[in-house]
Amino acid sequence: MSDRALLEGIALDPQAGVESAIASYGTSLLGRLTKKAQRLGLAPEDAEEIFQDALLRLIQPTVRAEILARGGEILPYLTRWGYWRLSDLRRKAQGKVAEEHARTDPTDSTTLDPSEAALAVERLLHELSPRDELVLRLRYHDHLTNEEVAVQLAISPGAAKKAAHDARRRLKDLLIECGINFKEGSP
Amino acid sequence: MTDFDDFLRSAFAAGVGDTSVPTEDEDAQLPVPAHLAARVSRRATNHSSRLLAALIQRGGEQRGLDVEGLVRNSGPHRDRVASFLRRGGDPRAIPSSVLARLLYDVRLRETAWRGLLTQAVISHAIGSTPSAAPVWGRTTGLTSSERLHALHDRDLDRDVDVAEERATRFVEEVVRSWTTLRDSGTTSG
Repeated sequence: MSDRALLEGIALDPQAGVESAIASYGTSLLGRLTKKAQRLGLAPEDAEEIFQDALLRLIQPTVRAEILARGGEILPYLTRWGYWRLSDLRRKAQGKVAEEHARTDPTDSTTLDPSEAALAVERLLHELSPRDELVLRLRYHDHLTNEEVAVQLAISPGAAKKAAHDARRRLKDLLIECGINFKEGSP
Repeated sequence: MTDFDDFLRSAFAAGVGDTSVPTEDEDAQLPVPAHLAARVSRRATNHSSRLLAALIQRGGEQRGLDVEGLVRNSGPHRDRVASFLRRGGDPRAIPSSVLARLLYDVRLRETAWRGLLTQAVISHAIGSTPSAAPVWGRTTGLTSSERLHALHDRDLDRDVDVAEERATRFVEEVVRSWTTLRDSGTTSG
């Protein structure tokens, strides 16, 4: 069964659709999340919880629209979302945000050339939710208008505008936390 | 146009690519334990209802209505509405006109709730026995009900066509009532 067919099938029978997703991708998804959890110093149970939540996300029509907007591949989306949740869990556990990036990011200068700015943004996009990252990519990489983003995500233009605003704000916060000054001397 | 907009445009123009495909741990594999798969499957049955209930609650909060307020506006069906909002379940437990009133009162767009409502009804109309998905590994260590689910003839009680027909009928009733409310612009006390 293709990913697109699986996504369409979930609308007709959510439970069977999720079971099909487990059968197709469960082993890979759980393996990836468990390894990532290990690297982050989290428990295997954390990976299992996020594994469940990731699969249940497929039941949300807006998430299916997001996946289709990204090209329709389920496993990369679930993995990406799961990684983000695990990273978020660790950050919350540590009580601080993006310290690792602030320490290791090579772009912690206040004057960035465009390629450094691209590197910083690309790294920090991983700290955003997949939805925020997608909205920013559609707006700034694919150059879509808010109206076009709305069509892609099956939401209203107003919701798309708010989503872009919120995603920009969250990325901006992360950049500031990493000591990156985009206001002066940067592209 | 803000400075940050300019910054992002420059950054993306300089090569921020599609970061949607993770490259870490691509080959990692771990069999899904039966209890974990069964738990996801169980949660999936009620998940559309819970998402719809959460959507209604968020809509209510934006209009200054908490769960108590939403329930209060549901008249004699307040117990059923309260149960749905708190625990999900079969939306058909609420009369279609009452559900339409609830959706209208929180000003959700039809496109926001229609798909979820359809899924929620299908999930409950389709029967309680899981479908023709595989049995994940051994069944030892499962509870009785999980074991029953895992070993059952999984096609027996499921009829997607019938469930879809029931869902379509119920959702159309809700949409009709909701459209009437929207067109008349009435609100409940």
